[in-house]
Parts: sequence; C-alpha cells; structure tokens
Amino acid sequence: MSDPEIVAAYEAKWGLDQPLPVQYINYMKNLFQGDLGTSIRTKQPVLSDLAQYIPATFEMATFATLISIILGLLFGLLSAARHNKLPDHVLRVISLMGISIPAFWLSILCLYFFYLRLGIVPGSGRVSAEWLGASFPTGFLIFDAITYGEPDLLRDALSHLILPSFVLAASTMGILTRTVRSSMLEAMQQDYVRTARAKGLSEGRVLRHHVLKNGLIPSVTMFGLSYGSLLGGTVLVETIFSYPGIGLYAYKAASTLDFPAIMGTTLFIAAVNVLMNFFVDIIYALIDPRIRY
Amino acid sequence: MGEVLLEVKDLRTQFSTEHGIAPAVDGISFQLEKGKTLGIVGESGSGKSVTSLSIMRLLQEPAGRIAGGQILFKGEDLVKLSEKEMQNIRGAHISMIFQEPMTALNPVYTVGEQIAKVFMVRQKMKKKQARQKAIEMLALVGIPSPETRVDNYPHQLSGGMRQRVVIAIALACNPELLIADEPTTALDVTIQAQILELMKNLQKKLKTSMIMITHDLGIIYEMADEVLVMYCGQIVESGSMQEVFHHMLHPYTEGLMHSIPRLSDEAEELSTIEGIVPSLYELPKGCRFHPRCPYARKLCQTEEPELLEVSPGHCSRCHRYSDMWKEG
Ligand SMILES: Nc1ncnc2c1ncn2[C@@H]1O[C@H](COP(=O)(O)OP(=O)(O)O)[C@@H](O)[C@H]1O
Ligand code: SF4
Ligand SMILES: [Mg+2]
Repeated sequence: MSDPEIVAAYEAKWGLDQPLPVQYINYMKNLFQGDLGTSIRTKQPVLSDLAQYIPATFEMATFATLISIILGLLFGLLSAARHNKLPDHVLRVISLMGISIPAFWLSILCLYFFYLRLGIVPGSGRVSAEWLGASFPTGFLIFDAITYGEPDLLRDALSHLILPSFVLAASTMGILTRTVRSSMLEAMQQDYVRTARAKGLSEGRVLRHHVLKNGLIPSVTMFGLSYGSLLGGTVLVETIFSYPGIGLYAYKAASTLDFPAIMGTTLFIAAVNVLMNFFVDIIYALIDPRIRY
Repeated sequence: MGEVLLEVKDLRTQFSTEHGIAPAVDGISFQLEKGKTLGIVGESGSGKSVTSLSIMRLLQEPAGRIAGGQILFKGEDLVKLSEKEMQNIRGAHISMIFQEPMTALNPVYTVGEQIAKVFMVRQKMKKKQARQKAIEMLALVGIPSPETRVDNYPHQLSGGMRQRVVIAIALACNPELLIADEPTTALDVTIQAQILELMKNLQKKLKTSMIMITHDLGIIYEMADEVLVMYCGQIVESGSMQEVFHHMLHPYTEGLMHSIPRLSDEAEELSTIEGIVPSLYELPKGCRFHPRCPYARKLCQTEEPELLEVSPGHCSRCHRYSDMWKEG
C-alpha cells in the first residue's frame, strides 16, 4: 500500500535502514551526548519533552510518597501496637485493599465520589483553566506558587494534586503498612527486647529505643523497592486524570508507537529507580551499623 | 542458716495455647540464701526458663501467666507487684542473663550505649558519667581495651565477649540476685570455662546471690551450693550439692549424671536417658518419669509420687523411698 520510495526515505531519515546493532550503537552514542532522539509524535527532542513533564510528575510522586510514608508508618505502628485487636483487623483490611484494588478502578471510584458527587476536587488536569495560559518559572507549581506568593495558585494546584496522588499512594501505603507491622512485631519478639525489659526499662522506653529502630530498617528497603512501581503507576493515573506528566507522555508515546519517546521515558524511569535504590542503600548504612560499604 | 533472700512457694505457671493449658511450672518451692548459688538442672523443656521468667515477671502475657503461689523476694511477694513496681526490681535488685549472647544485645546500639542506658535510667546519671561507668563495667568483666570496645557494636565482638557484655549489663546496678539461664550453653568449651570462672569471681567480689540454670550437671558441680533437679515442671530432687552428687536419690538425676561426658570415657559409652520428655499436654499418669525409668513398677504407673524428705534437707519425688515401695 505504501509508496516504497517514501518508506525508504523515512527509514533513511530515522536511521532504520541500518542493521540493528548499528542502530543500537548510534542510540547509545547519542545517549551519552545527552541526545535521546526526537519524538515522532511531537517532533521535539525527547529530552526537552521529558524536561517539560518531569516537574508535574515529580510533584505528584513526591506527594504520593509523603502520603504513603505517613499513612503507612502510622497504620503499621498502630496495627503492631494493637496486634490482633480491632484496629489491627481494620487496618489490615485497608492495607490489603490498597494493594489489591487496581489503580484505574480506584481512580474512577474516587472521581465518581469526590468530583462528580461531592464536587470538592477538580476532575482533571494540573491547574484550572484560568492559569492555563500562564508560564511558570520552574515548572514546579507548588514551589513557584510559594516563592511568588500566589496562594490561589497553591490552592488550585494542591486541589488538582490530592486525588491522583492519593490513588497513586494507595498500593505503596498498603505495602508499607504491612511491612512496618510485621517488622515491628518481629522486633518485639527479639531477645534483645527481653534483655531491655530485664534491665527494668519501662514498656514505652523498650518500644521507642529497642523496637522502633530495628523495626523500621526493613521498611526503608521496602520503600525503595516500591518507589519503582509508584512511578510506573503514574502512567495509568496521569492518563485517567489527564494530568500532564511523564506518565501521560508515556501513554501517548506508546499508543502512537513513538519509539524514541517510549525508550526515553523508560530510560528515565529506570534511572530514577536506580537512584532511589542508591539513596536507600545510603540511608540503610546510616541506620544499621552492621552495614558498611 | 543464713538470711533467706528469695523464697518460692508452690509456684504454678501456665501457658494457654491452642493445644490446651500447659502447666510449665507445676508447684515448685525452694529457698535461696544470701550470697549462695542455687543450681537448677533438667533437660530442655523441664520448665527452668519459665521458672526464671516467672521470677522476673517477664512471661509472655497473656498466653503465659502465674496461676498460683508466691515469690517472696526479701519478704515481698513479687507476684502481687504491679508492672511499674516490677520495673524497679528488674535490673536494680534482680538481673537476668539469657542463653543466646548472639541475639541478647541490640544490633543497632553500641555495647557502651547499652550498658550506659542502665546507669542513665536507673541512677539518673548524665551521659558522660554513664559512659565512664560503662567502661569500668567492661573492664570488670575482663574485656581488653575497654576504652575502645565501648564504641563497638555487638556484631564486632565474639560470642564470649558479647556474653561478657550481657553480664556487665546484668551486674551494672549491683543486684542482690542474678539469674543466669544457661549462660554458657551457646559458647564453646574453653570460652564456657572462662565465663563460668568470671561469674564465680564476680559473685564473690560483689556478694551476689545467684540462680544458675543449666542442663549440664558439670556446671552445677562447679558453681552451685544447692541443687534443684526439674522434670516436667516439677522438682524431682533437691538438696545440697554435696548430698545430691554423692547420695543421688532420683533415677532421673542418675540418668543426667550418666549423660555427662567424661574425658576417660569412650565416646560410644556416653548414654543419654532413653525416651523423650513427654508433652505437657499429655503428661503420663502416675510418676511423670515412669515411661523412661529403669526402676518403674506398676505402682509408678498409677500413683503420683510426693516430694519426700529422705534425709535432712535432701528430697526426692520417687516411690522407691516411700513405704508403699517396700510393701509392693
Ligand atoms: N511461650 C510459650 N508458649 C507456650 N508454651 C511454652 C512457652 N514457653 C514455654 N512453654 C512450655 O513450657 C515448657 C518448659 O519450657 P522452658 O522453661 O523453656 O524449658 P527449659 O527447662 O528448657 O528452660 C516447654 O516445654 C513448653 O511446653
Ligand atoms: S516413682 Fe517409679 S517411675 Fe518414678 S522415678 Fe521413682 S521408680 Fe522411677
Ligand atoms: Mg531454657
């Protein structure tokens, strides 16, 4: 169907006429020069596309991280402290739901209640229409709103952020709750906790000094591991909420077979993941004296 | 007779589990005089640790609980104390050393911090002063170059060194009673001898009374003034170390004695008591030891023997010393 001449010209333009290993080497060469190629869909360099969308995703991921860590810790500690009592049962159900409810379904459910029924949050996007034309110095809306003293923008950006961040946080929150719970329970059973009690320390002191620190060590690793899935989750969540970030960009790239963009996004998410695990290893060494690098 | 420091009267400790109620300690009574060492010996599962945890009131509640009896420490019944009051006893008046030196110390704090904590909480010392005391304690328990060791984490020390640290923690506040629950079981033989030597010396120096728990009669021989032999939560023989070793009364004690390895013995001649310790949920009728006892008779299968004083201060729970045995 297609004109062979046009196909040949297209292949030559994108370097697709070369053998695969050569294509790969070219890609790597460009990569090390900071060139991720040009998006077929947007006709822009992939790198500048990414740079444009990173702040939005970074904001959402940070927000989701905060939500999941705060709730995960709180729920996990409460669950362990009230082991096998009512709060524990309730929180275990909540964390199981957080892990197992698919993000797309939770998104729709949340949109239905909080946007459609209650109307307390906006349904999509990153800002309301009135801000759409504005340009933001750093692209980090929360940061810009605070540094430039725009409380209206801050409120607007936060209200757009809260629902997708919550959905994104749900499964990490569930995983963290369970990890914190089980590692706290395990720490309580340790011999050194008995030693601490035998010293005559009060129950509160035993928990604060001996259980907490040991109990939180596994949670740090677990968080590093789940950060990757959190980033992966942005594809679904950003698409459903029409939130202009890396996830939405990845979705659009995938649905139009925009290979340079797909590869660029994948590479970016992988790099963030590696970086995150590197940080986790550093934190690990700081809190656990048995680990030295 | 010297002043009595600890008197346990008919102590009963139970565990409620899904299998039923386990009478882990089933009516034991004993006295410990000031400055003396009481040895408690018995196979694994005979209730030695539960006895010591009951005295410390460190049972895992609510599964484990003291169901009856009294634990009189300097005349005061520990069973009746609140948790708050018990916290003032633990560490300051009664201390405990546990079996596993590898896990008894918290891996995320230095050994110095763990010893110093006792001084800071108990004697309201400032951090610096407590650290100085910690170094003194490390020196006392024979740890070389304590000034640098004080900043080591537990994983940087050997098993023997860690057990010395555990001992330092236990003795920090100069308690009147030290309960040592198999303090050397996890250590190899030469280290074991060093630790026992250390404990003996410290006991003399600090005039601490001690309960030494072990499954090894050899350690009892080294350390104890008085001996309790426990089986299935009960005392089956009690008396002074001399009496128990030289005029052994109970078949179970005999069995334990034969299972001590001796240098002169051929390895294959080493005997252990035949059979296994029965489950607390299905205790044998009559004498609890009868399925394993070489002397058992019909009487032993039906009648539970009482703990009888066979000679002054020397008791045994065995029908062989009752009138019924002579008649049967
Ligand atoms: N936490 C527990 N839950 C249930 N049963 C227990 C528990 N701790 C001890 N027991 C019971 O008490 C018995 C005696 O245990 P223990 O005192 O530890 O023996 P040992 O003489 O070896 O120190 C065990 O065989 C077990 O049946
Ligand atoms: S009462 Fe009978 S079975 Fe029990 S120890 Fe004595 S002889 Fe053995
Ligand atoms: Mg034990």
